[in-house]
Amino acid sequence: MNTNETDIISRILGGEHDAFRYLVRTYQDRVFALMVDLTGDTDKAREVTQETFIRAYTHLPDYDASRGSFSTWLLAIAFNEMRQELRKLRHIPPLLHLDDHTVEPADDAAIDAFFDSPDEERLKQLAQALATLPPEERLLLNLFYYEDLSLKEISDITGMKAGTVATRLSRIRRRLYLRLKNK
Amino acid sequence: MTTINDNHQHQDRLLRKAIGRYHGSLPHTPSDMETDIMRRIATTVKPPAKHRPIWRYAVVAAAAAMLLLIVAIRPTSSEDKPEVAVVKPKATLVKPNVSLAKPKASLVEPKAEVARTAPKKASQPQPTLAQNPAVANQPIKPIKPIEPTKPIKPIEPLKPAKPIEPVHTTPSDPIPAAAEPSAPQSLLAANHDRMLDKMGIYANY
Repeated sequence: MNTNETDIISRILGGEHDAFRYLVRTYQDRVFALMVDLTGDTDKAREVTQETFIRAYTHLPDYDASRGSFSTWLLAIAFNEMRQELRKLRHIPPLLHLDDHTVEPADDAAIDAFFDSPDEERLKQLAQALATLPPEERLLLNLFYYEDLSLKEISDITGMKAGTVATRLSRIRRRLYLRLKNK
Repeated sequence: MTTINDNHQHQDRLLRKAIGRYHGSLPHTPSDMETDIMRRIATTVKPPAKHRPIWRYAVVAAAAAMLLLIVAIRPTSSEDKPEVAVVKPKATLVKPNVSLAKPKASLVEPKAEVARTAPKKASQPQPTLAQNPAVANQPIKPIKPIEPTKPIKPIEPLKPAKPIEPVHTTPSDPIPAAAEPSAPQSLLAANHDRMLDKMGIYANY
């Protein structure tokens, strides 16, 4: 966490509540995007995003900068809020119960080359394929490749072990490759 | 299968681009989101407290004080109890010590035996004949033939038992066994007489 954020959190805790606006402005897009992606519903995503920030505000004294960045802490709150919301709708996200699909063997070097190539046509296909993935799988890809979070940070957010996150990411990557290589 | 590590973020450029593009296609954050959140915070949400309120500590301290008081009061009330109740357990405590002395002594002996015998087995493995050069070089003595043992005498058959002669009794004494009572019976009779004497009743009434 940067010193600016540390200073802002201190100011909020000192009674300057309007300083929280800075944190909302900084992180609202990231939280909202993840929520929209998970729910597929703009209204629901808006509601959960608001709840996330309010919860973060009320629990700000519990935040410990030594244990991780503010963004990771905030995303963990967002993830829990989303889970609670989905539980209310009797739809528990299967993130922690992802099926370990059996994936046919593929050459690792070929997969690396495939995902590193600057092919525009392949990029379009890949973006389309991402939209067809289950939201919980896309969430892992988002957190890792888009949010640039480490495996440890994703583990902190989702509650999965870092090793499990790594294995799941490998499987998703391989499945995408197998789906697209023959197109 | 390669396992993803943190360095993979910097590879997989195509995947990163694709995810970025996918994110670009998602609906944007509503413009009034920030205002809504801040309004809710200002109106409904309590401000975060940097420190826990003092009354919580006060409640915990009061509860602890109550507990201490209860603990402190209890022993003083027990002092009023009679001393007999305290003395009795002391007497009972002495007895087991005396009775336990014997088993202790009996338990020590087997341990000593184990200590004497066990190290011998462990520390001195007996060498085989092949390993011991002194024994291996000695000429092997001829084995003496085993002498035949003396023949066992056949057991003589037991002599037939003599028939028991019938006891002759006179017709005037129909129950001879009852005429002379056995020792315990005579003692009982004597006791019985003594009891009757004490009670003022004579046996020869």
